[in-house]
Amino acid sequence: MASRSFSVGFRTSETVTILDLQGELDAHTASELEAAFQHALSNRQVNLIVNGEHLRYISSAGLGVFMAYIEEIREAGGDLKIAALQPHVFNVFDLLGFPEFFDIVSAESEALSRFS
Amino acid sequence: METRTFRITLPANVSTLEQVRHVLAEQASRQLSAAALHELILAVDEACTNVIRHGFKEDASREYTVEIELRSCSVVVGIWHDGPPFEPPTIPPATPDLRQSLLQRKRGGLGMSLIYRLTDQVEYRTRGSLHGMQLTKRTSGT
Repeated sequence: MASRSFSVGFRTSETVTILDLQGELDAHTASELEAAFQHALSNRQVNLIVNGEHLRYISSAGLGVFMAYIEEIREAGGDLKIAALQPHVFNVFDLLGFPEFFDIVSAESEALSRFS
Repeated sequence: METRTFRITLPANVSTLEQVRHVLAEQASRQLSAAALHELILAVDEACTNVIRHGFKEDASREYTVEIELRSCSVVVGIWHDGPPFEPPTIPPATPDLRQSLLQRKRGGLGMSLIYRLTDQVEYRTRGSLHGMQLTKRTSGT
């Protein structure tokens, strides 16, 4: 059953697929982000940007989905960049050292320029 | 200020996490800054997720209770259950080696680290047949 508190939207910009996250990403809703990554990979979309402008909350279950897919995406020749996180959400990524291993930028346009 | 206590008992299903966060925000928002409240909510979410997933294996016929105590200088949240007790770590768990986790495509191990890093005190307690983890966030430390 789809959760009311979290959704993923898809957009494309040339060769880049942008996933717009909205709502709260926790142990209940993490499977929806997982399905979104699987959907992208099965369509050979490996240049991915996650736009977190409307992501209000993330727990370790949500972070775990990023951890589970980043290597597969990079091995397929792509990358996953994370953009526009709200400060309190960025802090959770930062607290666990994600910026060292993930390209996290303040604006979607910056993430797009890094793919070009 | 007198201690005020609020309890909510919920089925062991991850779909209840949103309700826990909502209730905690409602109860504790006057006592904690927005940043401290977010940290406590995240720590409590992680503790509840552990109970539901590891304690009860997501058996929704089982229940857990979240007890929120609003004290004069702190907010204390207990997560109580009658599942298997968790072994208290002897030292606060270190943040997992993210590089190794990524290489091995491992996604777990972050929750306990967050609980210890985002709260001022973590206590393990028993009350009759119940096991509890009590998380303290001091209002003065915000």
